[in-house]
Amino acid sequence: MNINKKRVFKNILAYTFIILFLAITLTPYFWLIVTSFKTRMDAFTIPPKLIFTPTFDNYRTAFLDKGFLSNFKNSLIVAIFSTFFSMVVGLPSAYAFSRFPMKGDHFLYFYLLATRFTPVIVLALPLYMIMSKFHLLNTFTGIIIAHTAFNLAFVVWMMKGFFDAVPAEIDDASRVDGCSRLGTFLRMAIPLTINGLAATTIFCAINSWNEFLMALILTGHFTATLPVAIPGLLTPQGTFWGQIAAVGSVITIPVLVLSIVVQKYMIKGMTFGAVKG
Amino acid sequence: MLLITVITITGLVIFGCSAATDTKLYAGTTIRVIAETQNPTLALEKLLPEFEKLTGIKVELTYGPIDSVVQKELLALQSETGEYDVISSPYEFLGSLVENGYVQPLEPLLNNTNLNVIPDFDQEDFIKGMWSASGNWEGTYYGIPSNTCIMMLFYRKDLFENPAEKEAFINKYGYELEVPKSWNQYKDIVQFFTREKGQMLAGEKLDHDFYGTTIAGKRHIAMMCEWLNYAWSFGGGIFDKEGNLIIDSQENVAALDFFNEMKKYSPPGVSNNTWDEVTTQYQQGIVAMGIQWNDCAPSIEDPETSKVAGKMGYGAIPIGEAPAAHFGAWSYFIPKSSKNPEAAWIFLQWANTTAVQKRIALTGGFPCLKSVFNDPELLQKLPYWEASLEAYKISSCRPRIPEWNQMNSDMVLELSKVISGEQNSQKALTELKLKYEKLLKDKLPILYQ
Amino acid sequence: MRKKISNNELMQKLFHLPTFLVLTAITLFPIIYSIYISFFGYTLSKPGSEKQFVGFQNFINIFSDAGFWNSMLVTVKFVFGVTVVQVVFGLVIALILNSIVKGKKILTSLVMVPMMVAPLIVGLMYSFILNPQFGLYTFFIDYFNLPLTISPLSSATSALIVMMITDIWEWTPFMVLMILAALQSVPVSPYEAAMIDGATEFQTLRYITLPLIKPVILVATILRAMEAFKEFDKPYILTGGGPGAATEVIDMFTYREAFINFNFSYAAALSLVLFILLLAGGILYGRLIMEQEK
Repeated sequence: MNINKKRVFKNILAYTFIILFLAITLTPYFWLIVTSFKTRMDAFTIPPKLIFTPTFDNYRTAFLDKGFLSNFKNSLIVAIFSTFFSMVVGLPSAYAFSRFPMKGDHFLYFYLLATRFTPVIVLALPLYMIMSKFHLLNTFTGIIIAHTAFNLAFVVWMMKGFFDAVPAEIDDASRVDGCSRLGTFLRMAIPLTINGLAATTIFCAINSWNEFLMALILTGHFTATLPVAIPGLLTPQGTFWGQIAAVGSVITIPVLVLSIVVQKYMIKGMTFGAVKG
Repeated sequence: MLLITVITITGLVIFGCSAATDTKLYAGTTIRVIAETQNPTLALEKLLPEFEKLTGIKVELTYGPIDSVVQKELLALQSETGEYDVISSPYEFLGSLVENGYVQPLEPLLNNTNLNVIPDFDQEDFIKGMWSASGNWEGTYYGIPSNTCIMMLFYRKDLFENPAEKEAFINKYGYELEVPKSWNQYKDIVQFFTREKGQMLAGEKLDHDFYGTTIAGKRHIAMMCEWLNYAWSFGGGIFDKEGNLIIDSQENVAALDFFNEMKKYSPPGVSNNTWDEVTTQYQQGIVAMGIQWNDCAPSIEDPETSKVAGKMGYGAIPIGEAPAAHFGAWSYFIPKSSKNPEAAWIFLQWANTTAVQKRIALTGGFPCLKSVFNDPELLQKLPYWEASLEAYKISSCRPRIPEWNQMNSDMVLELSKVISGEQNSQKALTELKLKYEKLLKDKLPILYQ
Repeated sequence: MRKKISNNELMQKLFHLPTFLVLTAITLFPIIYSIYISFFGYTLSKPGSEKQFVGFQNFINIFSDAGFWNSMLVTVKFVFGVTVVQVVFGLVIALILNSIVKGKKILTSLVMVPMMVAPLIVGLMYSFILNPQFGLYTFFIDYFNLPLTISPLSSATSALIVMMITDIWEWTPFMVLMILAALQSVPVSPYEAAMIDGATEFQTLRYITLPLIKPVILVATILRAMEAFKEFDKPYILTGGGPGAATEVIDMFTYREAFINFNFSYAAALSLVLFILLLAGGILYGRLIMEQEK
């Protein structure tokens, strides 16, 4: 009897704590979303209004009048293409790490790690200068190349883990059946890791979508992604908080939705498989 | 719209068919222009279709906040991509742009009569002094004015004229409440008007705090701009007449102390203020007086976004040892790497015709053309016009040497430390002097700025 | 036999080729280029300086640059502060979440939200909330009469604290997630043994749970610390490095030298120093992972 009571009490305590914690931490974000639906007057009143007439004006002005829709399109283009290329380029390497261990592996691993841990600024300046010589500045090509490179280490690390989970015997079986290495890779290994593939793809897309500094340096007026375009809302006519909130919401909500899908693989993704997720 | 059409038609009639061919000399070209997000830029944007109609030249206009625009311009110039055909740059970059070899001298274009296709463009109409300051480096013209601005005194005329306030002021300080002529008066007024919620203002009870002034205290170019007014007025500055560094002078220290003291009478959070936040604060009606750019006035006079439209007054910055009015200017430059300098030049001519400049002036720009400057209609319509004209007569300029960008960066860092209370004025300015000396080394004294 | 071996090696190399080709082009090349520029005196403040060879002068200048050391100090304070708090908070929340049976998935999803918000947006969000005129924060301290400053971004210390809070807000979920995963993969037997031995909850926690998840906490801490070292977006949008240089983390400082002051060569030298520092951290991390995999 006593133990049960204790357990129930502890459970309630735990729930209360977590819910309180969530209430506090989610308030700022909730506030952002709410503000995006407020008129300018409502957004700036004290005490802050929780009940108000919602309006889509901020979304309309930001996306239609101010052209954030094209920034949205740009973000999509960059995310989709860079993710695609990261995967196409990185998958073979991940497979090789998993299936073809060789002497230089540690060195290659280390190289990969180095690229992941390089702060963007270290690359931003020289990349800027190099890309300008190749006339890749302010183009989609330039930023897509940059994002592809940044996600590569991630793709390789993550997919290696997933490939590792597929028993080597399956590979051998397919080789015995006369399939080439490439064929095995394409027709056996990949389909069997479809979950991991999906998760990795989503992670890459999210990384590209949220990225700011590289995009700031490499994109121009017509290729600017959503994050880059936001400072444009801080103008001499005042800061358009409502619109910033609207754009901010649009930047974050797709990511939230997608991350729920990959929740299972979160940890693997964030630590390159260092911890079993 | 009508005016341009009339002029165009007149031009066509007078000069016959050949004129029609001339304006469309570079039809089909696209030029790219970059400028700061300001009222004049936005006004210009609206007029672009007319330009295209007139000349067949398409203009792709990019704009953004000052830091981002300057950054984009300089990086584009440095990498010689030819990305922009026209850049609108703050005039302090003149030295840097010229000496780094980024921009073209304008003389060849100015003297090329084949390119004089815009009727109504008149070189002689430029106010020589302004043009020189914003575009002339060591005798050659590289830039042509884009827009100018000047800093002056903004104040709540309605409060200054309010009988209750006038009476209270004279009772407290012993002299009439009026536009301050000295810094002591300025401080008195600022103190006088700083009130808490619940106290009276102009006969009504305040439901929020009210402040005597506001300052731009963010680590940003805006702070340098505002503070230099105080420095110059107090008798200080960056260089003296012989070109020596006087940045750590007693006058500057006094000016910085005064500026810092204004924090007390400003809405909290001054270290987050650039000219944008300052403008917003005026619009919200919580500030009584301050020093601000005249091109922010239109936003404050806009009834749709400002609570104090029609209530503002404009005047001269108090005179300490000397009058001061910080002159700001943006110049159009044509990069050497531009592939369409001629088409760009045609655009620049058009942008500086009376008609276009007047339209821009009506929405918040400030021209360098005598015809528009002295236009009686503008004087009558715009409450800030007269004070602007007076301020322009003073026009205190900041240095335009190549090192200025770094100097500005150093200055706003040191000023920012004083505002946040980390450093005292004397130390900050001494530190600044050391940095400047290191940067300028053998170039001192700097006579040409 | 020989043919097979060489085929094997060729195959391996081909599989790796695209990846390392791209990486070399996009990371190695720029770094080499950076090294090259860092030996010159290139800055826009001195026209013609791109040809001026200065040898190691830039690197020497870094060590006498008060701004650099200040940035390093700020960054170290920041990294240390956020990492420690994130580990502690992360541990507490993970333990509590782990003890919940029903609704764990939903609650975990909700806990993860801050992590998914783009850092830039986090910065803007806090900027909005902290606005002295109409921010939520201002309202709260007014309403509850809290003895807190109305403008935390105005003073050096409180600005740095705000910066840390934004990062703690954003990344604690990461720690939670890591530790939760570790907690969920610990073996059952030690616990059963502990129960038989009559250990209290606290003892179980201290002597069984913590040691078992220690490796994960270590890995997570290092990872988080390295990411925090690279912080840029939030300081950029929230304070611009100010007030003064109170929130000028090293990434921001380098950015400023490169893209605001246009001191290209100096910035290149700075970024190399940064790179080497992080590389050292990365080696440490790599070693730890290798050990883990054993």
